[in-house]
Amino acid sequence: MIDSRLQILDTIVETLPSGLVLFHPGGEIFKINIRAKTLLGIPEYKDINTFEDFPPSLERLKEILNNPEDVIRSEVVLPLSVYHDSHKSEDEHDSEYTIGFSLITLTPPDGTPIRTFTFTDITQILKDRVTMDKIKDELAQSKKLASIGTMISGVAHELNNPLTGISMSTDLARRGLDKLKKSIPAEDETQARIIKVLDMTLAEIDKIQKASEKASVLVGDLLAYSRTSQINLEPVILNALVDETVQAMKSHPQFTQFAFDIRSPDSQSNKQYMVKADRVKLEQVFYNLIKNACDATEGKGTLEIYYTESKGPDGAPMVTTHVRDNGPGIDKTILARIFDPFFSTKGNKGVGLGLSISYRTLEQHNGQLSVDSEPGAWTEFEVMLPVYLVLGGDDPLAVSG
Amino acid sequence: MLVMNSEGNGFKDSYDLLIVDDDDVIREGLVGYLENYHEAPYTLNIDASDSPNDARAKLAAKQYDLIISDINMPGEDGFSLLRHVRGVQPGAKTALITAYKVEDYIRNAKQTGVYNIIAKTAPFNFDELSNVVNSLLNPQQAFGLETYMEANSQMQSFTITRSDQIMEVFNALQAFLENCKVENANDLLTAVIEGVTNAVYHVAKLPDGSLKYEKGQHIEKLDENEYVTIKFGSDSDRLGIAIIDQGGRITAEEILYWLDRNISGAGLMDTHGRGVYLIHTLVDRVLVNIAPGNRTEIIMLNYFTSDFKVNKPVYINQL
Repeated sequence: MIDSRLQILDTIVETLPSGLVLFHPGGEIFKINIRAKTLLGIPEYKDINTFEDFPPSLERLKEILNNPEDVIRSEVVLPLSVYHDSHKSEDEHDSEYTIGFSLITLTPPDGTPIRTFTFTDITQILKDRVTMDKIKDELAQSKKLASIGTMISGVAHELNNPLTGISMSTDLARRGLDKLKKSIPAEDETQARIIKVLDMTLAEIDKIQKASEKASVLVGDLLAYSRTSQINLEPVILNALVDETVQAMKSHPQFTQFAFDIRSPDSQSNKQYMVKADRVKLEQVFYNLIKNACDATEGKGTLEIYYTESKGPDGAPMVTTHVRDNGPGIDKTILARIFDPFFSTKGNKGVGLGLSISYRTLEQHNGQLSVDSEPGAWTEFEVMLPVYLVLGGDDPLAVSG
Repeated sequence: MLVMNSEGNGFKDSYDLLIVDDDDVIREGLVGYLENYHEAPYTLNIDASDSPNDARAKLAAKQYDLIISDINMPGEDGFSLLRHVRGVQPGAKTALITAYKVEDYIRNAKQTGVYNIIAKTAPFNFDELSNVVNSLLNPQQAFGLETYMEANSQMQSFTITRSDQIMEVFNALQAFLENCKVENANDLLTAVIEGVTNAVYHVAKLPDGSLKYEKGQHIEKLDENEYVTIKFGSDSDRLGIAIIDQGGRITAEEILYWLDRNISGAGLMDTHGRGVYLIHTLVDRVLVNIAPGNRTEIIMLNYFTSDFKVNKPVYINQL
């Protein structure tokens, strides 16, 4: 009777979805289930009687099991071994995995303590958590941008009226004074003095005009920012568009000391990425990023552009254009706010709308703009777009209509 | 200072104008400019209204040649006012002016039968105001690239009589743009190529109305009435490019339709109708002059300053 109950218990332990290791505090293991062996990368046939039987890669685990505390609940990162087949297929680049565990010391009435170590693989859960956090962030960002966009649009238009008024009035004032000036012959001292005052007044009017034009440039940026619906998607060869943008910018005096290192997707097979994009808007995005890179390195840095392929959340093929500079990098605290409208580190040079406009443009393309940086070393912007068609190349990523 | 086609050609001695805008500074600025600095071979008698209500009263009392109205005003908007004008003074010419996005109003303008929408911008382009007033009072006056350029501007002119000359024009224009050091030379070239290929391939029709030539096909010799003229030149403020075909087939309504369709995104999958929109997007200013059955003239102006890139007006003149 007792035997058969023990047998049932043993079967239950063996078929548990979690790994279970029962051992005495000294390190003598008297039960390890199959799931535990699988999760720890130990072949099923191998006998495990003490910690010393664990493969050397599980050194970290041994330390934990030797921890004398009565109750421990935590997680630990372990290196993957050749027996971890399931992980390999999911992501080739992973070399480690994470387990969540509880280690509890039970002291039965007879006095010999037993330690139970229960654990599961939480690698995927952690990954999902990171993805979820990221999605949440992106959602919050786009909501914020949308509401600010609506407000900005209204303000910009309301500003445009008085600015036009200022501009008209100063223009007319200048025309009037110009006319008056031309009618005065400057024959005597009084007339000369009048002309001098007129010139001074004209100079003041010019200042008003310049200031209002500055404000009007800002309004223009705001209007461009609030423009939401106007997007005209057409098939565009992404790498050709990038090349053209770079070519056009290279000739500009600002870039004479700036080095460009542009890698084609695959020059051997003449691979081309076709995406559906608003040509003008996408060019603006790259223009913006390249200009930022140039500004960040004070025109003397190196710009690297290269492409990678990936899969989107729904499994659709994506292409990422990496735009990387070797400038001073961006601090983490700044990085988090970089796509916010009006956020600028350039002082007077810009109003800080460029990147948030680019961010919105990518959203409109069902793509994404992201940024990463190593302060003191580099900054990289990543322009991710859904692939429409891959032309050339040995290994077509996808062909979809 | 801009020049006239030919001195006083076809103008009356004087015109009555009504300007409607609730913004005092802008209304007075428009009136002030037109009364004092608009140089024309005619006199202008200008009335101004600060509300559509006041404008309706003035319209009831006097016949006007031209009414320019703001769009957003308290109470009645500019569209409604100009529809009223259509009813009570059908002979009067009309134009709209707005500080808001011109592109948002194209559909409404088409429905109202208004083909000119002036953009309020800072700086405000008074030269363009002069041009649009002249063109509305005398649509013949709208034709000719010279009308929009300073006097004595150097112009190059090409006539396309066979398809391979398109490339020659393209090369000449490219050289010209390089010489001018234009920032958006590629945009301008794209716009011109779009306009020229449309003029060469989309204007000539067979008797049954279908296209005579296939786009891109080699044409050894165009018929004389299919020749396309391209002119370009620059002055101190701007570059000017004109594309002239002898079809005069497109209508103002059609242009507004395609513009709106492409701006709203509805035209995404359309196979044609993108020409004017593309040019509108790529160039600072596009003016279309149409002499039905006789001539279509697309005039592109691109300023050397970046002041006029944001809110773009719509200027279409149809005889």
